[in-house]
Amino acid sequence: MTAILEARQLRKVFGVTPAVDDVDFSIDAGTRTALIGPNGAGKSTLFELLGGGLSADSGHIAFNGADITAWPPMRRAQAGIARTFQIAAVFRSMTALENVQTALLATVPGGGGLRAASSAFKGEAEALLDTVGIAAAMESAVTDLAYGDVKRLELAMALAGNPRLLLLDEPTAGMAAAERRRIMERATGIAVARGIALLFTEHDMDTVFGFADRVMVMHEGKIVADGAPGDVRADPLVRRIYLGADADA
Amino acid sequence: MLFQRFAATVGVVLAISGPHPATAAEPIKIGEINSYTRLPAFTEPYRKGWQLALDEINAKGGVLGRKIEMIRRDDDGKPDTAVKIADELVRRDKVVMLAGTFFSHIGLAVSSFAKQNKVLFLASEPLADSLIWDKGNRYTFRLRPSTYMQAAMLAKQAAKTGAKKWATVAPNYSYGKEAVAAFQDVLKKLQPDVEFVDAQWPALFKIDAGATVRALEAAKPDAIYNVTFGSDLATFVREGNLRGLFEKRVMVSLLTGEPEYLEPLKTEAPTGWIVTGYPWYAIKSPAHDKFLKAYQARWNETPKMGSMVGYNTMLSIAAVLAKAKSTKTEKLVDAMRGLTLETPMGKISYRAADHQATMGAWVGWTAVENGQGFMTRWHYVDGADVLPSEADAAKLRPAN
Amino acid sequence: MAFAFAQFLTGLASASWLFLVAAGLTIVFGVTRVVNFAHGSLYMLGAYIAYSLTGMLSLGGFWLAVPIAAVTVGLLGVVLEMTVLRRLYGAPELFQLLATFGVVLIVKDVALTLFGPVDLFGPRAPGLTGAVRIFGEPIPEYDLFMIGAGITVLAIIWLLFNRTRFGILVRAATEDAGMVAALGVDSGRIFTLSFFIGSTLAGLAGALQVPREPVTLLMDLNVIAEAFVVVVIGGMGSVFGAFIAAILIGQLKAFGILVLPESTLVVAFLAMTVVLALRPNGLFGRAASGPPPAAEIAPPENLGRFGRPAAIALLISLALLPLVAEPFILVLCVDIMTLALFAAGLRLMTGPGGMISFGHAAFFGLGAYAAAATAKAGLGMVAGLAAAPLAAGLGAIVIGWLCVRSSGVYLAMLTLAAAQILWSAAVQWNWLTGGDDGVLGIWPDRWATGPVAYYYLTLAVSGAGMWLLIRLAEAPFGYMLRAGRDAPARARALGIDQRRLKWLAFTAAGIAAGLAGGLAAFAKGNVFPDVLSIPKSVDGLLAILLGGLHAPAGPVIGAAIYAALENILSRLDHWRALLGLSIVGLAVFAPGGVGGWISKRLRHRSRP
Ligand SMILES: Nc1ncnc2c1ncn2[C@@H]1O[C@H](COP(=O)(O)OP(=O)(O)OP(=O)(O)O)[C@@H](O)[C@H]1O
Ligand SMILES: [Mg+2]
Repeated sequence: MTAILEARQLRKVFGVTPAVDDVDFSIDAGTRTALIGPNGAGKSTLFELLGGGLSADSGHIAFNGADITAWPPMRRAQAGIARTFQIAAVFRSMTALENVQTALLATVPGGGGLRAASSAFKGEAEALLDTVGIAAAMESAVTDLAYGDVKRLELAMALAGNPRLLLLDEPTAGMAAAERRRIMERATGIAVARGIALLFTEHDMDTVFGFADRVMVMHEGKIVADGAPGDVRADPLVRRIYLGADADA
Repeated sequence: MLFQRFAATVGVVLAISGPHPATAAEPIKIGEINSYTRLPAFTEPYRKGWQLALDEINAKGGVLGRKIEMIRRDDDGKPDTAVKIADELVRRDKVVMLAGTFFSHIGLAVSSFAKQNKVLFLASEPLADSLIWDKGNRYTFRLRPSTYMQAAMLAKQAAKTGAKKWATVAPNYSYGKEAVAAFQDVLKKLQPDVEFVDAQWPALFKIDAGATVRALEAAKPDAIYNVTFGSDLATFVREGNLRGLFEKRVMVSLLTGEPEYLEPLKTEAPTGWIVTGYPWYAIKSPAHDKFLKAYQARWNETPKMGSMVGYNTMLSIAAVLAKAKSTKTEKLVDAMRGLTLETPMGKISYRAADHQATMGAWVGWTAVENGQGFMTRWHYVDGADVLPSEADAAKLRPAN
Repeated sequence: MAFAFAQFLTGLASASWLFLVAAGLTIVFGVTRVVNFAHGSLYMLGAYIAYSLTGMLSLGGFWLAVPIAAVTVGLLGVVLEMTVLRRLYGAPELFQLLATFGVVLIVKDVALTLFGPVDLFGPRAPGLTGAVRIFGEPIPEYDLFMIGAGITVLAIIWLLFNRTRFGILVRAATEDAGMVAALGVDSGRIFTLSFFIGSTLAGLAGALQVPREPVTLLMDLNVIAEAFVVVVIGGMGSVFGAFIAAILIGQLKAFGILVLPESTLVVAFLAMTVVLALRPNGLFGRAASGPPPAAEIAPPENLGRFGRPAAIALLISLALLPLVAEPFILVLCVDIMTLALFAAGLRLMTGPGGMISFGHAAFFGLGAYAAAATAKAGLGMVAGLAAAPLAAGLGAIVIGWLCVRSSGVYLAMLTLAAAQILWSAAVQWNWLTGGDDGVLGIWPDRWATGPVAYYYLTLAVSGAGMWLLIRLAEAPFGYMLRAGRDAPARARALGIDQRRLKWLAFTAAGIAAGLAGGLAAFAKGNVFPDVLSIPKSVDGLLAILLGGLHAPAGPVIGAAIYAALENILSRLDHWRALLGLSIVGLAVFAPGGVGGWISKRLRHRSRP
């Protein structure tokens, strides 16, 4: 297998404390990796570095063979890195459908002239909404959507650009167990079907161990464990620093 | 729905601007435009002046057997608004002529409108020379002595002082520039060896007086010619007094003797400056006495220069209507050319060649008494004495 | 050397005054995020009150009048906060700005009524009536006092913010208002208190200015632009930044006047432009975090299925209007249509684009002057109307490039600087613009002369312009523009080049304004520097406020209402206060504007 993403000695310091501390890893195409760690471990910061929202203090990122360390977020997105945010970010003045249409329009170089945007990519957008399971809420203003549906919408938008790598920051936060399973099934299903590499953070251990084929554990900015779910679960260090008293759960 | 909204809006406009029903003894309507809200300190005395004259004229039965009705509108200090109002006054209110304006650029805007739409415009207050000279037109006349005239009056007096090294300070807009250029021009003709060593151009009503005074001091002139007025003047005078700028220097200052500008200075008022102005408190003539009494009785305050300008504006309007015996524009314009009338300041006439009235100004020295500035050793300069000859003036105007 | 030092002290005295005004403004902004245009009015009231009290108090005179005036103004500020501004926290900056602008109009009329139109010149400050010699140069004692006052106020503010519980809470609220609320502190009280402090400082600055310059009705607007410049250079919310910026401006002016006396018109704005080009958030400011508040309320954009029929009905009725209306109505409609086109461009950049402009007149003016120059060169009206959008568009490309690097109030101030610099150029460059006396006699070609012909021309040109702008907003361009406004990080993560889109929107708005300027030039027959002035920019902002920022039809409706309102109100003596009241009322109670209200109705109906 070939690595689609490689991070080398990535480092980001806020003030004096490093949030991401010389992190090294690579992600292979078509795999599903979970990034776990306690609150404040540095997971979201690492995602920002990968997505380009923050620039690294030092280190390098390669994507698909190209050094993208200095690329702005826009260019990374165009190259095939898609993402969702820990706090879902969608376009609040639009309906769910328009959100996805806009995401699709963003993939067209030059925009598309003076044609009305409301009829552009309608079929594709509906299909994407259907994929994530909110086709029924298509015409709703996003301000009327339940939070879980907003997360699904964000997923649909992230998928619009046909990414090679999908970064999901806590895709199931704030959801009930049944819903968690449903959305993760969809996300991983799409990833597998389209050969998208998936990297996601998650606090719910059932989700992590149910859907990832690899788990990385972050603690105080460092990756302290990395391997198959079973191995990581058994790692005594991880049990101590991360799973703590709930280790047996 | 959208259209209904819009139609309703248009409907409102139509309703308020629909034609009025005609009545039998209709008054003669005059449109009057001025910056009433923008510069009330200057335009209010002006309004009181023409109001007084209007009441006097109408009490005597008006002119041509009809009363005069002034439709007064506020231009908010914007030329665009002034032109729009002019349009409304002419097209909707059917006024027979336009009058007023304070700022030069608004005067010019209305003048240009008057030319395009062939309507008589009597510019009462704006000072710009261009209004009647290089941008003059058949339909525009001006009452007040222009920048050039007042600067020339001062230059004549300044030449007698013998000062050689001059500095100037004037607000940074066209009035200031014109006033400096005219003064330099006339003074150099009278005294070819004068030298202008510094020119300060503070932003209008935003003078940085400390720095300006110091910059003038640094140039070490024998004499200073000042064009600032209003709040700039007060700030400049205080700062100059504090820093000794005026000590042992000849000071010549435009308009500073007008009550509008001298009165607010109170104890800070300068002494010994050569100024143009209006010493209403000391003028002894029956015509002026009558005006002064009437004005004080009516408004319970002393007159300003603007009051006089307003009063004379109204007198001029009545006089031109009487002379033309008509309200037709072309007849009025012909009557305006060479129109002569008696005012509290004496006889004035509107020159046929350049449409400038010969209304003059008083030149004298400032002094302070009882915490109040006033003009002393003044004399009246007739406008005709400082204007170029009619033949020369005609050459300054574009061929219409 | 002695001369330079004395000049330095003179600059420092002006800087102190500037700092006193700006300090209050920056504190209020830092805590409440409100852009308070009425700060200048509070300053003016401070001066009027101190002047009046100085006359009335026999004991203590001026020195007693100053603190009383300052505190009185502080309390007036509290009243303002509790009645108006409190309702605007979290509203887009545009609404705060316009509401406080309404307050400016009201206060001006009230001050005129209470204090009269005449300039009021106070006596010199008792005890400080002379000048002292420093290295042989006379320096007014009061200047030295002002310098001391500036430094003292800086020290007091520092102590207040760093050594008192209130100050620490204020700083915490500045960082994170929600956090403070979570700690059980009433952030409303903190806001009110900081408003009190800011207003007191404004009153103090006004009162202390009484011995230096006459109190006039022009003080409010004369000071506000410069105060904003100082606040922005320093970084909004940074008191120390304001101090440094005030010194910078004060010294630039004091020494600039020796080199180039005319420079006083632009030096502050040039300095701001340079600082913001290098540091988009000012010297000590921080980038605002999170999406702009506009995203919170921006409703959907489209008109629904009634939009097209309504537009067609409007067009037909406008086409038929000359059959029934008298000429003046047509003249008024030409005004309305040019204002609508101007506002439509502005709406594209402000609504979907999320960029506020305080200086959109820059492009209106560029267009007007370009049209005038072309016509004067004998090339005729058609060439003039083509040159207008071209010149404005080129200007917008250059100015927009600089502006879109900043955001929020910084961006707005850059547009203001651009307009002010262009205005100064128009005033100074007589050979090109005719200076204040303007360009006269720019009338339409013969075939378009007369109210009816020019009405049709304007209808066609501005109608086409507005149609294009509406199409742009509904095209992918408009959607992606809104995307960048609603959630910048999301938009970037989708590969949307937000800065480029904003730049394009800015340019489109500039082109529309330029075309409007060209139309206006031929309608009025002349062009003056006023076309580049702040009131012209405000006209456009008011039209979109009245019509609705997020309604595509807003500019048309807003322009019509504004013109009608102005025409009716300007006949009344207190029309400014009435206009001010209407603006405040609209901003507070109907922020969607009339157009927003209609759009909402239409959308509801068009739902199946
Ligand atoms: N913009 C920022 N400025 C300063 N410190 C920051 C910033 N963003 C994150 N941090 C700090 O960096 C550390 C890592 O934060 P991060 O959000 O990456 O953690 P996380 O693993 O995503 O936590 P969580 O599970 O709660 O989402 C934390 O200590 C956080 O306080
Ligand atoms: Mg996180």
